Amino acid sequence: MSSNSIKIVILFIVCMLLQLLIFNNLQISGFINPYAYILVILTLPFGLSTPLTMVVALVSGLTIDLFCNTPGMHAFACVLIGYLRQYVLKFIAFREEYKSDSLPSMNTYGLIWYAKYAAIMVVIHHFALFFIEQFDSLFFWPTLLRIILSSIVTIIFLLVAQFFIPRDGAASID
Amino acid sequence: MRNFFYFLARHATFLFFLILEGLCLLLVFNFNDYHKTALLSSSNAICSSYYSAQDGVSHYFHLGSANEQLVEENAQLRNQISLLKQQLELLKDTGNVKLLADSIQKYHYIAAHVINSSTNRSRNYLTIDKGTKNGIQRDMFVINGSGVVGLVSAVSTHYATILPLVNTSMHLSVKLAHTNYRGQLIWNGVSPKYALMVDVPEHAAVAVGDSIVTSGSSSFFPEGILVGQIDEVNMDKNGGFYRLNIQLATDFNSVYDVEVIENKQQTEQRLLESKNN
Repeated sequence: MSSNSIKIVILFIVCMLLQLLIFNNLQISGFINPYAYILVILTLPFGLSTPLTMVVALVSGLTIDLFCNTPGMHAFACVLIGYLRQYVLKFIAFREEYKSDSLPSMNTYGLIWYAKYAAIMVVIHHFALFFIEQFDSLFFWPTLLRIILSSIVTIIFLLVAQFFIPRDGAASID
Repeated sequence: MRNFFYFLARHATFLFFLILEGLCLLLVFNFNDYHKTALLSSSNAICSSYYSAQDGVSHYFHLGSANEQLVEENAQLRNQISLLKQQLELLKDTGNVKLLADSIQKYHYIAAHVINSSTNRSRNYLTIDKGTKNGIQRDMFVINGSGVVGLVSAVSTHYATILPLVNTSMHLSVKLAHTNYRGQLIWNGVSPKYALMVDVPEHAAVAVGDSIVTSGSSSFFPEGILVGQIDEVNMDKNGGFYRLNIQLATDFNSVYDVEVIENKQQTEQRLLESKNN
């Protein structure tokens, strides 16, 4: 578990730096704002309790909020996916139980499984984030378009990131 | 009681989730200006229809004092009419009356009722029962029989919220009625009966009882509407300027009948000004 904590701390720092230095400055179009930093929340160990997951999510959200000058918005969306993660994992689970020590990644259950997992989490997160940011029913359709486009880009980034993450020791044995 | 604790224990994670999300929303609505105003503006339909239902009941209790106020205002208006009639008679003799007929009525008054108000917070708002349907727009000036009430801060179809003088984010440009020295009217959040006038240079002659009126420096607003009277003359801590305690002419605890001032030439002026940008 302690090796997992070190991995998560390193991942946290790397994700925050990448988000703040690169993704936030990515000016592809006004409609595309990828928030790939939620990789931290996705990669927390399977067995981590939901309250702890929410605390980690809250900290990541607040860190981004601090630098984006959007107090509370990212934190809200992150805590939401932190809470829903257990249900998402249950929803897409195979027959076998998750190994509570291993970290969810492409290597644990394959690319398709991970893509499903990432897609659900990213869409929930972006939905909450963009709507709370907009907070106005007037711009419903443009906001929806932003959510869809940004989600697609974020998911692509998350999948690409999987090829750079070192293979999880526990999963590679079997 | 025991069942309650069982309930808490069973749903601890969910409750923790709700608490965290509550915290986040608190941050969102406290530190983001847009979200704060969107939430605060009681223009939104649910609140407003509740307030107008409530007002339908409480309306009758205010009839007595409202009548008195109206009678008083009537008398004042009659006095003004007679004065103006006299002046008109005088002008007729000199043949300048054509000039008067040519001038357009610049300001139009829309009567409205206050259906919700507060005076005990630092950011107070009033809600009135007229909205865009009645021609009310943002930044219009609101007065009542006694003096200035505030500015229209948000409008919906049938309702509007007013930023009154008794709101700490309100800054109104005012002047001394006699000497025309300008200053800022601010509210310190203490009493809805008093406000502060600052930035009046110390060489201006001020005395207790002097009237304070709107300066009209922002040309959207009429000049010379009564704001209040000087109650106490103090010097600013840093010197050089007065810090005048103003007794407000409007009693914000009982404000009910108000008039929203529409500047007929505002669109023309805005259009012209926007051409410069």
